Amino acid sequence: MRRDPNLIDSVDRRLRWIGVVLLMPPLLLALLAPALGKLTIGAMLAPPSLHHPLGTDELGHDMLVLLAQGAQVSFAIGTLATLVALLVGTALGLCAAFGGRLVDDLVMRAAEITVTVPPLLLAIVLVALLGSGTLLTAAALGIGAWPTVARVARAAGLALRGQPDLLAARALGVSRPGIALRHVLPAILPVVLALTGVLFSSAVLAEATLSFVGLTNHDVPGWGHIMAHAGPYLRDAWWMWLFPGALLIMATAGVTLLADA
Amino acid sequence: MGRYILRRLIQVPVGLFIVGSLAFLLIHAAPGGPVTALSGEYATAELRQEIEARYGLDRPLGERYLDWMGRAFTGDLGRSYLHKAPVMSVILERLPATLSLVLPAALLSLVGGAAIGLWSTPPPGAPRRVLGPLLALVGHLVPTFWVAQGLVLLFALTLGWFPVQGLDDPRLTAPSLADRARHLVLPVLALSLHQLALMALTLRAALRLEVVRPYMTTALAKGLDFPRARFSHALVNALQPVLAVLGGRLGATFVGAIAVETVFALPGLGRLIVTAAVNRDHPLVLGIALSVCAVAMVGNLLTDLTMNRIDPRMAIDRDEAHAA
Repeated sequence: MRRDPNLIDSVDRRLRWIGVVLLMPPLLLALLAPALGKLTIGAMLAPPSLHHPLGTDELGHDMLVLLAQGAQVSFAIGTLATLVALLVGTALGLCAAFGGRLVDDLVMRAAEITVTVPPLLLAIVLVALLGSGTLLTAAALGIGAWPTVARVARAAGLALRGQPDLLAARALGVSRPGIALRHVLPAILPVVLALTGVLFSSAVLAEATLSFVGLTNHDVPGWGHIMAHAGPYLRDAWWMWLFPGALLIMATAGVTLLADA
Repeated sequence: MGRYILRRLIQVPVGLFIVGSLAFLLIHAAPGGPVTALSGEYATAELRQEIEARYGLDRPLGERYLDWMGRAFTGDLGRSYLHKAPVMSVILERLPATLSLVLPAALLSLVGGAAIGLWSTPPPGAPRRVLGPLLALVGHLVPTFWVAQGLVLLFALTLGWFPVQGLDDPRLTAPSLADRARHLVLPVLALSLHQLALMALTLRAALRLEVVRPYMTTALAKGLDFPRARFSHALVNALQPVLAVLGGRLGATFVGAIAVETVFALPGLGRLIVTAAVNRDHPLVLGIALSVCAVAMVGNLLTDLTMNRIDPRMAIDRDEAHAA
């Protein structure tokens, strides 16, 4: 009720194939980035042409190469943050469901408190304190999202209580952690994995925002960073604004439609 | 029910206490800590000692923690390293710009989102309207700062209807309200889009379940036309989930202001926390984060209490769910 995992509920389920189409360009860019070669200095602020299909930026970098590198950053951070959120959230959710009442109370109160801290704010604080590398950014974004996963995992786990196979396992003397890991985890996995789309797209969006305001420090600039550079040249170089944003929307919308529809 | 309200009331200070404690520990346990932040990485040992003494950082951690907590309860969040002023007064100085952005944006997203949500809920059996929700979905996924830049490109640079950035026209001798409003149009639009889309999507999802209920059939059978029945009957019943989602988004709107303030160069809290983070001004980062958390928690509390007024079953449901 409190979060919005059912956001996509309102959109036609048949939109899934659109998700695939949308996801293709950014994903291909990320995969082909090494093949596109290194950044070279050419004509500055050149409009899209055969030589530079997406134009060049204010330093003369080819936007296609630049955006392909940005795609790698976005997909890496999105995937890492999603994994962190899924791992931490599922583990804590299962602890809450099968660890007894005290653990349940502790985990759920912690979730309530974490939820009141907006994920991006948490990421800013962590990045300010601990550093702004790629791994840290991904971890910070993933940690901010754990309560959503934990709640879903806990609810799905609680729903399984009293099921014959769990009772049988218990009668056979399997320990509680054993039951949670071997019998409950596989059963709730599909439910938890349904959150992938929301987790991934919000992590990608949050990373872009952090990059945009200058709070990340990757080896190569992320999409948000590229868009921040477009700011002063908006009037003369619309391509610097249009293409990174379009790719970002394709990636987030594509994954959301694909995973949730 | 009384117990429920009491529990929710207690949760706000307790939550802030825990968040504050964690933040304090994070700051003082972070690699380098505040001394490195103040002196730079290559400072001599003497300089580090002098800074430690000046900011009271040479005292034991527990003592500093108690001291900090005691002051925090009286609203004293320490001194900003960068601004050389109390954190609270720095925040209060920047607060009006952010509020003049966040409040109109919240209002706009409520009204606009409700309009789209209502419009895109057709009578049962009628063809579905996909355009509204599709636009809303895109609005939800589009990065706020990208929209902000697009608005600048279209309405400020190309059409010249609105100023590109800032809060006041620097050529004016005294700030005028009309000029200030003109400067705020584009930022408010950019900031509201995200919540507006969320409001529209949630309301539509809730309304779709309501318009097929028997009371709607009754209302229609009595001769009420569908739009009016939708507005005066279904809307009230659909508000519950909408409130639940939006109440938790107050903090998110503040965070959205970070990107908008960056694009439009507005002197608000969003810009402030970014510069504070870049310059490792830990007390300021922590102070702003705590303030936003406090606002978010109070927002949550008010939402829960309002929902409780609308539908007293909420409290019971939750307590029972908890006991189960």
